[in-house]
Amino acid sequence: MNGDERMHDDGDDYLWDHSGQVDPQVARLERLLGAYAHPETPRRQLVSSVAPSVTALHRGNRRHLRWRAAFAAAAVLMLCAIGTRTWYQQRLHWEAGRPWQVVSQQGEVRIDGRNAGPSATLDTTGILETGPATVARLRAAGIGEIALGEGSRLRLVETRSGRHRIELQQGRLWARVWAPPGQFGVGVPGADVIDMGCEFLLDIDAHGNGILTVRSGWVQVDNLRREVLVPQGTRVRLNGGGAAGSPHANDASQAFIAALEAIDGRDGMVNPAGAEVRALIAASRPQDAISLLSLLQAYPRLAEGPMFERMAHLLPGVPASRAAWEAGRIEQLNAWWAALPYPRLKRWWMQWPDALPSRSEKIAAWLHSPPGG
Amino acid sequence: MSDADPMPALVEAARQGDAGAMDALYRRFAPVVHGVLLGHVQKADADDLTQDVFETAIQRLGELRESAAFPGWILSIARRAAADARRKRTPLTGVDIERASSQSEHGDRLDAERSLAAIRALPEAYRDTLMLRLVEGLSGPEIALRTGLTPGSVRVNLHRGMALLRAALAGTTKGASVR
Repeated sequence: MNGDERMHDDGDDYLWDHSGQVDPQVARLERLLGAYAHPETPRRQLVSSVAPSVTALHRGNRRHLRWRAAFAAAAVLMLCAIGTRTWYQQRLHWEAGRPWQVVSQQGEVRIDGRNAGPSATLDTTGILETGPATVARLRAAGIGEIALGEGSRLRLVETRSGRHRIELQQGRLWARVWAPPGQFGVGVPGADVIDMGCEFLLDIDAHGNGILTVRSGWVQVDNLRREVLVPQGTRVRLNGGGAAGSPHANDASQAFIAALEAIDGRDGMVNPAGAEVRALIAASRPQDAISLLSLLQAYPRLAEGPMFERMAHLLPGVPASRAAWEAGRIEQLNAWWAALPYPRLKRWWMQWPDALPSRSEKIAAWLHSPPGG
Repeated sequence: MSDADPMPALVEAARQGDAGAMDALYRRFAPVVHGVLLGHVQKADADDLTQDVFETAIQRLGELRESAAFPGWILSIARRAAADARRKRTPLTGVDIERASSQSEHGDRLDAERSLAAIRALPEAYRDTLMLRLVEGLSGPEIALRTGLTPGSVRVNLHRGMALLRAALAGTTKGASVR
């Protein structure tokens, strides 16, 4: 500070610390400029994802936090993938011949004629039978579960990784399986019922007559005379002495079902423009397309009548013409199959809720409901 | 932590994640940061940038080696923020806040704007010191404490800066060296 500045020191006291004589110009500037001062607003809080923690403050800036979060997310995803794969492999793995566990039972359950205890198992030499008002529930290897209603008779035919077969000689069976198509199958008198990743209810008498109701996914019925694909929300009649019927929607009308059974009963050998076909067409709705398509696939001659036009009308988004049908029937059928509003067979894993356990009271209610109900 | 705690202790506590210490640092240094920013940008932008500067400072507090160096360190952040803002052609807010200030009398408002413009035209040391004294209302000792400058330097800067400002407002200009 030079001498001139020292001479001003006394006069600058007010400028320095508001002491001494008030400097009018400084005071006026204070008054004018005070409105521009910091508004004393509270500090803006950092968003939680980047709020400083003890470690974050010492580790650097926000970019590092983002990288750490990304790596953490990737690690979690990788662990989930590994966990899911391990769980899936364990679910499908089953030692050959290993017995199935009876997990619960209500009423009278016998294995090889003896009352089953609380921790009973069923192996490939045994036969499980149920008495009146009975529900027996078993774990189907590691891929699902089954339950038997009253008056049922079941045999475990084969069980190993990738292939599990049981035989329902009579009675009512509920099954829920989450596994690749074909791993689980049920033999009934005169036919095989193959799981395609699904949940179903099977009601059969000792002669192989009965009804299959599919609750989710797809089931294939094969009796060496005919293969029938049955999607969720539909059911099909099984005939121990003949071919399986065609599937129909659970809520199809009685007139439709009667016409369908009349055509199936004659193995499709009806007049393509006859009374049975006309009755079927008259009672058909868009949700009955599965039935018409199954008939056309099993009995192509029916396409000579009005069933072809009706099918094209029920699935208007699929180009269809008689010329195309005659040139390549398989392509036309495939196009219609692809347009049906059911889960894709190749996406069986999308039915993942079937991997979850079911409630016992629900199963019991289904097993006690009227056949086909 | 309270406002009465020594600055290095506040910095250390904030470094450990103490939100109360962060708030106390903000209350103590926000006027200083704001005053420095106001030397470069309009008031509304200075208000916003003050928050940004503290957000940056708190996130990077781990990089500060000496807690006692906090005043100079945060002012350097403020000056960089001001330089970045100045490089932008338009005000951050897009509003000429000085003209929309709460000055009731038209003449006073013009005088305030003229005074602000004159302070902004001063060399940095005088500009910052006068902003803190005349706008933010800090006394010389407070300015010294919160900027890390010595009281002597602050007093000289105030004296010389005020002399230059008087001359500028009177329509005359005097050259002066910055200490």
